[in-house]
Amino acid sequence: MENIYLPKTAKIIGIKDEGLDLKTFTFSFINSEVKEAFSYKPGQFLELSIFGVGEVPISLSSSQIEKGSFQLTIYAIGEVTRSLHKMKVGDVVGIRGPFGNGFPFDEAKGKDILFVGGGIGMAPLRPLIKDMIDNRSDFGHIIILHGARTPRYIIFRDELKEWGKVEGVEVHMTVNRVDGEKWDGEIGLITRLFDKIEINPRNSVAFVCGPLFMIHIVVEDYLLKMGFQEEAIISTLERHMKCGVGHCGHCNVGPKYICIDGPVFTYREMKILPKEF
Amino acid sequence: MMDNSLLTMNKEYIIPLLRRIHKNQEIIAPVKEKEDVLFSVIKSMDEITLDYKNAVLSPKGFFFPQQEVIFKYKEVSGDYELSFTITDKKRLIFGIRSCDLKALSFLDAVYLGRYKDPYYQKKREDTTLINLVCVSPDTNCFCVYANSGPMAEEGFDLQFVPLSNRFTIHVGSKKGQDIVEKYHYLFQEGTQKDLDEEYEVVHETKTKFLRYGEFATITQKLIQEEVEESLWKMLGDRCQNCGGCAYVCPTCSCFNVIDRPTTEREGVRIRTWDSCTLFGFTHLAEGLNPRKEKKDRIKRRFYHKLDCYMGRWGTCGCVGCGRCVTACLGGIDMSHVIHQIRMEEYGEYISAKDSEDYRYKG
Ligand SMILES: Cc1cc2nc3c(=O)[nH]c(=O)nc-3n(C[C@H](O)[C@H](O)[C@H](O)COP(=O)(O)OP(=O)(O)OC[C@H]3O[C@@H](n4cnc5c(N)ncnc54)[C@H](O)[C@@H]3O)c2cc1C
Ligand code: SF4
Ligand code: SF4
Ligand code: SF4
Repeated sequence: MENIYLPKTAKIIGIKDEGLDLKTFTFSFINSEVKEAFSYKPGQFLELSIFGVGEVPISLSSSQIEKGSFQLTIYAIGEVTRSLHKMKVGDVVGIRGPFGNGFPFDEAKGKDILFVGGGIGMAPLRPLIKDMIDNRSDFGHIIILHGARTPRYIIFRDELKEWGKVEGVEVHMTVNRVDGEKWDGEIGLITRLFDKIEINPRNSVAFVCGPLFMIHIVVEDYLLKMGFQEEAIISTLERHMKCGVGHCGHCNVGPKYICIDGPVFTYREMKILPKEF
Repeated sequence: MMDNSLLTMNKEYIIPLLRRIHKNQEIIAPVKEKEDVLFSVIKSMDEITLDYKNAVLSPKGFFFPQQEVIFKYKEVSGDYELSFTITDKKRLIFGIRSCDLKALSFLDAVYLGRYKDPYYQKKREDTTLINLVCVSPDTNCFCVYANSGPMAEEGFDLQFVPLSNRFTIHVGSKKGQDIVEKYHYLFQEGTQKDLDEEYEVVHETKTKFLRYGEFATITQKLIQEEVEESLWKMLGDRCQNCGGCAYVCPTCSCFNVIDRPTTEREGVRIRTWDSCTLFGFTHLAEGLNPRKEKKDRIKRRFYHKLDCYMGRWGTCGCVGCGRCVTACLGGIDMSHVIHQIRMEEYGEYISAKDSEDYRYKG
């Protein structure tokens, strides 16, 4: 019997600073069979264990790079995430998953795509953006909006630049405020970037990830008013989670379990959940 | 059901039956400890009591222990070795009540859904269940309203109904059938007369329930969001945040997971019962909490038990065992809340104990 509670061990093989308290870690499974068998899709998440400290859910932030390795982009905010930030290349963690449903991909083919990523919300979007750019001809125009707290919190900086150079892909960024850093771009909430873009909501899909208040504003005050269909607005929800497999009860909202029914939901599905924030 | 035919057994044969089973299987049965009756692993037959309403705690803990080791970890030359134990022991629970039996099917829905919980699954598979139907319910019971008792419809291996001098017995599974075949000399074929008497006994039992628990209209009200926020506020004010309601509830399945290092290089990961009425249940890093207020958490409890279960599994998530009625310090247990919602007069709190409206009317 497969024990779904038993993590597989993985080694940190790379660490990249993404900004203050924000790092992207590259991991590789230690066991070669595990490496071989591992596959996932954008929007899914893993349960990351630091033995002796605990376990937390984290979205996969890489698209399948090479067999058995993957990336997680993590904000140091509490016990487990802070201990991870103290780790070095070569240190060992535990991994379970992938869990969750993941983003729709084939369903978005032939459409224009709008990405709205607030802060760490860019992490789950990154593999989807990469996969779409790799299959550029399957999609229409692609617009990427990213908002960060301050310039030093801008995440995947180099990639955002690269993506912006691709034919038919636009990238816009804004920061809430400037904290002494050099910045000649937009200042203000992510929603101000909507003035800069043109998109036909009838033939588009919007992927919105970030803090819940941002999701509400972006969806209710912008996307819906622009004429996006509720099914064409796709987001992820975040809840306290202890198991990732629908057992521990923590992430249960209304009749849904974020871990097994989500974390990706259309706005139509999200709308009927109890308003708890 | 394996076999629709009815069996009977002389009441005096029950201990001889259990004694024979006990020769090669662990038996968990109701045992009197001072004034309380608890399910315990028995050593000898004289520990078993048949004189009990229901055990103080449901047998939930025998499947989902209050604290359970998930695995041990140990750092070994740049990697971690993980080890876990899944208990491999055949056992039989005798005397489980129909409400607690039905509650197990709810735990099954959670732990044996899309992902299987290996610890729970093994214990469940290894356990034979014999339920003993109540003829004299406790004052806090309301299983009749929850469709979970006094007789069970399914989930048992054998079901025993106590009549005057004998039990009628229903076989619910292959495991149950095997017991009947092995000890066939203790059982007899039942007759229409036995079935008639059983009907009488069960029917009479149904008139003895004192507590109110009409679920269908209440659940509809919750689904339609017709319950005023002021009720949740009032219930929240009374909640003591003790978590007791979830711990005693046979259908509550939530747990927390904690790492306990024993040295710098090794330790255990355990899980423990958790309760949605506690503040930490939905606490997020950065100090966010979608259910900060007591009123939000108490609302959540009842929405989970009634609305979520109905939406997901098409049933209500309470089996009417009445344990939260006994446990709740704030007097805001399932039965009270149902009553309160029905009264629809949120301003004044009506004590359930004072109400005549409780008697089951069929
Ligand atoms: C599906 C999903 C995907 C996520 N993806 C990412 C990501 O890509 N990058 C990232 O930095 N963060 C992500 N998070 C949030 C991340 O899980 C939390 O920041 C993390 O659990 C905090 O744990 P901690 O021990 O450091 O904090 P503490 O405050 O010490 O938390 C203690 C425990 O509470 C629970 N908890 C606290 N906050 C959260 C939370 N926000 N979500 C779930 N459980 C929580 C965890 O079980 C944690 O072990 C994601 C959360 C979910 C649910
Ligand atoms: S909610 Fe109360 S009455 Fe219902 S099953 Fe749980 S403990 Fe028993
Ligand atoms: S959410 Fe609350 S009521 Fe529901 S099973 Fe968990 S602890 Fe029990
Ligand atoms: S038993 Fe009563 S007081 Fe305790 S947490 Fe549950 S509702 Fe609150």
